[in-house]
Amino acid sequence: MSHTPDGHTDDTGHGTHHIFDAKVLKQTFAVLVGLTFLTVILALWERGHADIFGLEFHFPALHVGWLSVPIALGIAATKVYWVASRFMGLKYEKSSNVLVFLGSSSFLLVFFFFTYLDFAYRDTFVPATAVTSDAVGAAVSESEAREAELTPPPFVETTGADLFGAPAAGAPAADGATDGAADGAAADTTATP
Amino acid sequence: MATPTVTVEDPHVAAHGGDGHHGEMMLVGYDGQLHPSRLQHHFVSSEQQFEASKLGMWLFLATEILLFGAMFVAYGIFRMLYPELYEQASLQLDTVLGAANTLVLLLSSLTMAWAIRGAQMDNRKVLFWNLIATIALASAFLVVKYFEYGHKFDIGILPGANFELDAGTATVSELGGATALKPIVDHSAAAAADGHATATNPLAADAAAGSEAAAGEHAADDHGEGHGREGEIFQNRRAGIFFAIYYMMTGVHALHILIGIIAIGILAWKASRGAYSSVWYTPVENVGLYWHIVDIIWIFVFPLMYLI
Amino acid sequence: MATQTSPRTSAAATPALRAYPVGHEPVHHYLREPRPADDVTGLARAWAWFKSWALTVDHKRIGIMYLVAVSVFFAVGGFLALAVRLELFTVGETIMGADTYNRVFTMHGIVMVFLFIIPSIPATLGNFLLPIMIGAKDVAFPKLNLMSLYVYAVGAAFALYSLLKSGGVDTGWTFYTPYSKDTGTAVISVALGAFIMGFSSILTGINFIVTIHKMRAPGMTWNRLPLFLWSIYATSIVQILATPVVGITLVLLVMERLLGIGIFDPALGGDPVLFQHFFWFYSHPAVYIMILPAFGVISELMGTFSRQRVYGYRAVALSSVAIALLGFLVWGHHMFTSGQSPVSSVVFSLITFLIGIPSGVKVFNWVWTMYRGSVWLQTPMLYALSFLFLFTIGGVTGIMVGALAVDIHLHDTYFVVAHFHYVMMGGTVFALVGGLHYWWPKMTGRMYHEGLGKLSAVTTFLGFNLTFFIQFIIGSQGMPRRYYDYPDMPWLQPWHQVSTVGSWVLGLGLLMVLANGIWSLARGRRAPGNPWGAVTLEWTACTTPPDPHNFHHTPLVTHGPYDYHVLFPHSGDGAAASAAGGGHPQSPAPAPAPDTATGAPTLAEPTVDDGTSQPDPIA
Repeated sequence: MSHTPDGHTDDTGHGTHHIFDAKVLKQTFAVLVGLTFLTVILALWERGHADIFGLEFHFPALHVGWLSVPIALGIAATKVYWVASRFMGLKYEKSSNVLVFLGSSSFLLVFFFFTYLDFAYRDTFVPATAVTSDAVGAAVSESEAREAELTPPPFVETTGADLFGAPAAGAPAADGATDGAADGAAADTTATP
Repeated sequence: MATPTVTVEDPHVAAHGGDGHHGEMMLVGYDGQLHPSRLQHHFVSSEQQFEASKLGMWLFLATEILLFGAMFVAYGIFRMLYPELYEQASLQLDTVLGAANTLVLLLSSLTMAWAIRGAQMDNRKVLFWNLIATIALASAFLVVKYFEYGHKFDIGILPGANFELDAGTATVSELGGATALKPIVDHSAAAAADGHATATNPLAADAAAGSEAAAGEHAADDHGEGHGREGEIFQNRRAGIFFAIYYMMTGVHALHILIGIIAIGILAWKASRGAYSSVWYTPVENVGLYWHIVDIIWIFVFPLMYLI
Repeated sequence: MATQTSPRTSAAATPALRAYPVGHEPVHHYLREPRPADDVTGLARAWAWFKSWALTVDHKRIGIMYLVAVSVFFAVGGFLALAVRLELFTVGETIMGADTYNRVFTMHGIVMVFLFIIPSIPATLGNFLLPIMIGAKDVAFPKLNLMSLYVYAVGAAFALYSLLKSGGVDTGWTFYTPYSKDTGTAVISVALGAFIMGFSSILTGINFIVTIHKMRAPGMTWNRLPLFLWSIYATSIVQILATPVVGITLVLLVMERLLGIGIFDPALGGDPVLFQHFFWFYSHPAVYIMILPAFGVISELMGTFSRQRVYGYRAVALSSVAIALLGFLVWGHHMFTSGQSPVSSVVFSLITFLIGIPSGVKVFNWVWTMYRGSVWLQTPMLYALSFLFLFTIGGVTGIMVGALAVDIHLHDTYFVVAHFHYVMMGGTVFALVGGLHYWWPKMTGRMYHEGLGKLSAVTTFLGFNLTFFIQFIIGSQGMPRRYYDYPDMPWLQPWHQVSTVGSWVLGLGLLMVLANGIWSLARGRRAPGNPWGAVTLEWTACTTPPDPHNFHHTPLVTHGPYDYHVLFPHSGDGAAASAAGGGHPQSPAPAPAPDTATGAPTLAEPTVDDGTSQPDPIA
């Protein structure tokens, strides 16, 4: 057969088929094994003890704190790079396949990031410490604070309310300018059960 | 109606402006023209067909990345919320076995790539025996997993509600729903200063209860078989979460390994009958890509579960 | 197997209108070929005919089978919807109790979302048209295409099995935990069904992307792709990236029910909001799977029925891709009231506003397409114009509920229900029906009844608005969704009744569409080759209906998809022609009548001999 033995692009009309080079494959495997040992050793070192085939070792732990995760992920990502570029051939492929691989990974990161934004910032809205930005808002929160000191008004069922008309009696005033009215209204609702 | 077949032998025909299909089985089509036997009717050339096939496989791999990725997200979120859970739990996973499995899978990736090389070089023996080697290594991976799982089942490490906590450990629900998610920004310190400490800080109560249980329960080794139940994880009421994620991820991964073994087995069988050559080895290429993704998934699972 | 080459002309027996003009019959008809040889009769013939459809790899036949399946499920979902509206006709129990109602609206959602609308346009029109529009003989993976049909059927069977097992599921189509974990209804069956149908969606997406990337005809550059294909391409990207996530989510839900794994269970330390994140990461992009193909259909309709290029081709094409990608960043707007952090709520709300921009770009471009065009108000155009109106309302109300502060009040009310029905039904379904009318001649070789078509368009438009516009109002007044009764707001009853009557009008309109289709198949006029005078490849280079192999010679594309001025230089008001001709006015030649009374390709498109040609008796 007229194929060249060592991994140059076949030029007999099959265009883009890249033939795997034996040396590259072996080299990649060696790198991967090396990185695996590296990550295991680092992890055990951070832990401070190891149990290998029943033998227990203790040694001073390497303190990296929160860095252990990025380091481990970084080594894993490097291994993935080597597998994807050499074993899967992405290094010699046209860019559309690379784009598929990287694109889908990036959407995964998007998924994680936005979900993280939720869980990381739960319980961060503390109404009592929220600062309003204008006088109206300030007056509202002032009246609300005063109202909160009173007993909360009971739930009043208002059947037949005119939903497009004036608010039912007892509803708190919408703007803080009618402070006195708000107080009066609050007193009202506490009176009517 | 037997379509007459013609084999174009001369590899130098390409150099002289021939059709370049050397050594390839050619068929005479409806139109009286020669077509490569493997060319499907809707494709214009073998090249187009191969490229299309590969792109299709990569798109499928993108779905695999997203599939496993969602579980990685679950892992990440719970890790962020309960880091000590992960530190305790990963001690239960045997690092040596995990590292061995990693090396086994990496080697299987090498043999898979070598098998593809065999097909590309028209070396049927290399192709076949590397496929067999890949199957053997994959099976070894599954055997190790079997032992890992077996050991865990023996000592009561099961997912979710089935995790056997040490006696006396209060579960989450028994704490009366007081365990809210722990925020990254901890307002409990500020609230404590205001004097609302115990009432609004269930976390402090939670931590206190947890450490009490841990302090009191060191020798709670009431598993008959168990000389394995060591570690704080057995008093961690959220242990089931970690192991739910662990079993789901490694379980779905093992399922993919099994599917891969079957696929490679089919390839090996067909290879032994000479179905693949340098002219057409698309299925080998595609299954190889699939196998490497399975390996890539494990490359991430291993450190995340076993090491950190 | 031997195939028939002489067409079955019964021209002598049937009136002239029902047969092709003699000598102009399409020689090979994908609906008729391949078929059993004439000497195979009886049961063997029936079996052979069945196999020729059940084992077909012809994308057109697969598209037709999808169309039949999807229409059946639309009817099922539609009846469930009528039942929902009937229950809400009066305060108090009308026809069913609360538990039954929960099942009915849940199954309505599941059937409509998973069994109907996700596959609808891509699997029917997309499958049928994609290879023809790009000049290919089939999709990239025809056998995978067939498999996607069967996977879809199996998934649908799993989902509908729940109807037998527990009368359906009652969790809402969103399966929120912890109720979906605890309920006694057949959640596992439906979850597995949806999981399986997800594979069908993924296989379709893979097929379409590879076909568009690798199998375009010579000369068909990305800038010459019809806009329908751009939108199908964007849809396929979403299908591939989003569907696996819902797949694993449903598997996790099944595991939660079976094994109690606890990831979503607060009693074990899990979080139900995590389920919502997982679920909506797919389900929001899913709504773009639903609407993007509809956008593509509307682009085609607006271009053809304004007899003009679609204005802003690149903007429309790229906005499809932009919507597909941005659609992955907004899922949290379904979760504003779930306890999600305010930081993420604000981020999601902001990006939701941004995603309205590409949609707006499209609507402006479509409207501008009509300007100085020759607008032809046939049935497909009526549906397209309805789409413009209804989708605009739906889109704008989407922005309204996307505003964080407003959504706190509107979430889980009928306002949201009205919003999504405006975009999904007023959008996708109207586009699907319009597209079906438009491509009906191409698919069946028959014309539908134009008068009935126009009547159906008007009826569905009126019925739709009657049903759903009211719901904006009652929703903003506080009518919650998924409630079978509204005892504390009895003044809403008349509004509900109007909405229910509207649903009957809408159902009537859709029945008219069905009747039109059946009538057309039975007695419709044979379609000419290019009844609309369109200039995309499926009309100009392919017979009506298409040959089983689409083309016998690969077409060479030398013009853009909407280049009316290239192909019909003497039509229109002569302005373009005279400008091209250097200023002297041409004698006003009439525009060539689109009805060219032949089934053959109307224009001699240049072809390329790439060695794949087959003998063509016509040529």
